[in-house]
Amino acid sequence: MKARFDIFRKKPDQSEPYRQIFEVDIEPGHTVLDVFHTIQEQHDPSFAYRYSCRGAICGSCAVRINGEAALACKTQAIPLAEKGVVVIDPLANLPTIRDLVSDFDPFWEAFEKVRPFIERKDDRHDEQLTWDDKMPARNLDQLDRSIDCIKCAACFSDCPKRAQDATFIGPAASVALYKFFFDPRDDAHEWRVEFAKSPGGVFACDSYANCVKVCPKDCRPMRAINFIKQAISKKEE
Amino acid sequence: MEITERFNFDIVIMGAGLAGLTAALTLAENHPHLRVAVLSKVHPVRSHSGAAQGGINAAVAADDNWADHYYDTLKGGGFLGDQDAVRILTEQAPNAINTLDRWGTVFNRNADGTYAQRPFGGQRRNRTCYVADKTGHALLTTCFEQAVKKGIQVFSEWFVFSLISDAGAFQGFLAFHNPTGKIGYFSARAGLIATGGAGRVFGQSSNALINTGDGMALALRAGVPLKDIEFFQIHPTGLANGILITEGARGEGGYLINVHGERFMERYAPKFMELAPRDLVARSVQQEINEGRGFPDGCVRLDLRHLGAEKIKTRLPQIREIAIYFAGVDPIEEPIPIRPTVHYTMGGIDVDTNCATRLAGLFAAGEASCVSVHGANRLGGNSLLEAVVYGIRAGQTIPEFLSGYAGPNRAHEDGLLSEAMARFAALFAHTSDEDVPILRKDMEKAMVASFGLFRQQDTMESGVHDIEQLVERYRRVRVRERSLVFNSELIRALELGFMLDIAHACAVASLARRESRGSHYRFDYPNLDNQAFLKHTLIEKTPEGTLSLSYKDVTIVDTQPLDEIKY
Repeated sequence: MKARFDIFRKKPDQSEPYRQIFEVDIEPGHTVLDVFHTIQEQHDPSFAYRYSCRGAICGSCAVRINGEAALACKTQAIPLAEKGVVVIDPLANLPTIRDLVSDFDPFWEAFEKVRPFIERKDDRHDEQLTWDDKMPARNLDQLDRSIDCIKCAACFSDCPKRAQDATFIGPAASVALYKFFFDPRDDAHEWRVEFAKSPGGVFACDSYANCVKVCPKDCRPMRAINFIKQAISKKEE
Repeated sequence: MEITERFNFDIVIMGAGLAGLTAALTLAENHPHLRVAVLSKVHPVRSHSGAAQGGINAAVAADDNWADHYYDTLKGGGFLGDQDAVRILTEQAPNAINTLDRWGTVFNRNADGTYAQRPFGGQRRNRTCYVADKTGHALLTTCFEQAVKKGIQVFSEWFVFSLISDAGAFQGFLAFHNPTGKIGYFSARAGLIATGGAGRVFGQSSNALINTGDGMALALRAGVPLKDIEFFQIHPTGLANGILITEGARGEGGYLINVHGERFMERYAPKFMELAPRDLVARSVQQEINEGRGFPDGCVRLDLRHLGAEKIKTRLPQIREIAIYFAGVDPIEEPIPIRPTVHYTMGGIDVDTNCATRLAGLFAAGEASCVSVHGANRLGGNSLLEAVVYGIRAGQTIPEFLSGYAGPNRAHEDGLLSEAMARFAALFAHTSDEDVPILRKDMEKAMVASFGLFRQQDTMESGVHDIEQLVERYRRVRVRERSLVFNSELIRALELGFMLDIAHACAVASLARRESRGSHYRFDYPNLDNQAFLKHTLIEKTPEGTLSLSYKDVTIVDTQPLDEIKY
């Protein structure tokens, strides 16, 4: 079918962004990322967007589709096009470099703030490890979800709190914090508690829950945030 | 257009997937005084290592041993693997798992706390450690986290377009930075290529769109041979669009079913059934389809329903998600339509067991390299392992090399850089109507038609001819967009140039190997021929730009290759 895509355009120079409508032939099975390829190959060779795996595991291609952040590669084109013109924008809460390519620096800065790596005093590894023995206040389901995060920044883009408050680390970084906060092998727990409580930490979350809705990997960032909040509150009771 | 940024390091690593990052981490842990940079055309977490699903092999169980893993790997590879290299791979495997654990990977564990392991094809016992069905993602994430911790200097979204070398020695990489359009020269005493595979030359592939063999082609152009480049693994279970369904799905007990509802592997590998090595299963699937026992959609089915909803949800959650989103099928309710898809580049840059190429200071590791450990067919679970074991190894051998090496003679460096910049600028001056997408599709078509699962003399001859014509047409390819900032057209043009080099080398190497071994299966020579072809193919680019072919003996240490391989 013929589909219409209304796409945000910005040249890499200082000129003003504009919008452009492309009419594209789509077939069953085509994703929004396939549409981007078609536009680049058949309509405008300069059209810029990120891509890598096209299988929803690398996190490169998140954009806003009809106002909501999603992976282009994981979104089927026909059901969208049947509803009318499909509106495509780059991620929000990040500067745009060119067309749909966002500058991820603010996202990675927030991510690095949480010390997103295991800290071990003696750099040991455990030959045997039983989560049951060693994982206090654990939630294995949420741990698995925190491992799933692909850092696509969909949640960061659509977080209303981050839009109001650029000190807030945002949902993805909170998921990374969760991953190590509840890892029994980690020796930086005290630091993580203090960080979580600091300005911009997880207590800055106002529970809009957009992150839970848009996460393409169902990581449920707000739930991770709430688990951290609860663990800290319980400890301080 | 000129070089505006100049950097100097001891070691520059091209590629930030598992091999590149593990090398960088090893260097940071043991040699913090060395100045190391990692260049990557995408952010490290976007690397294709992250797409590996099923797991990583290691004889970590108390009743397993590396020698069994060693033999399974050799046999699976049609005995083309070098035995010294396979020994390093399998003997170091448990250490690799423990290192990854130390760096923070949350491996699945048994109730007693030991590593959980699942069965994978071509192995006589459960040997594949895993993190659900997203092992590569978990390992890549871990290594990126450690790179943040150790302050590894990563140059993200720098696209390398030229390797500078002179008088048999590596000098540096020329690259442009996508976000700013700056051109930079990264000179170093040593370079490590860790750019992964080149599955994209076939188009129909499980590989990420970025897997265009950049590092392999740059090495070839610098006079380093590609080894065994005729061997591309075709994975039996891809969706119609190429996205992979892990072997873990069969490891967990999935059945392959034809249109008559038969578990057809009974005909081809009665003992190993669905868990025979990948080359055998892929050919079996294709034969079912070719002989009319496929479904009308051109696929057979992977049936997981008997595993039950619980097992599918906990062990294969990503597979379920992929099937739902990309094939519209929930494997709990319906079998998944699958067909073979190009998956892994067994061949690659010819390196020794120290990851060194014949160019002084140039090293390669992981899928971009060919040590060789996978021989003619890689076992599932050995690719992540190779990336980690040989990535770590490169991080150990490069400092040893550097301790006795002051660096290359840079007398001609400026001239070489000017020449490379002139070649780069010439791309924008072409006025033909040769467009990248058309050339790329023609290349993919030729490769699938002539160098797919089943090969033979006449189709390969026409394939070589087709590829040579495309190489010729590529000389005139046009790039209309001038800005270097995320220039899709430029990037795809450069990647196509890399891929054509590899396609050409694969075509020439395939035609010359008159036997069947591993992934290289010929109707006209259906048997293994150890007399004539128990040897590695080397393809080199001559100074005139033509390809020349030679052979090199396989390293045999203690295991006599079989003349017939059965499963």
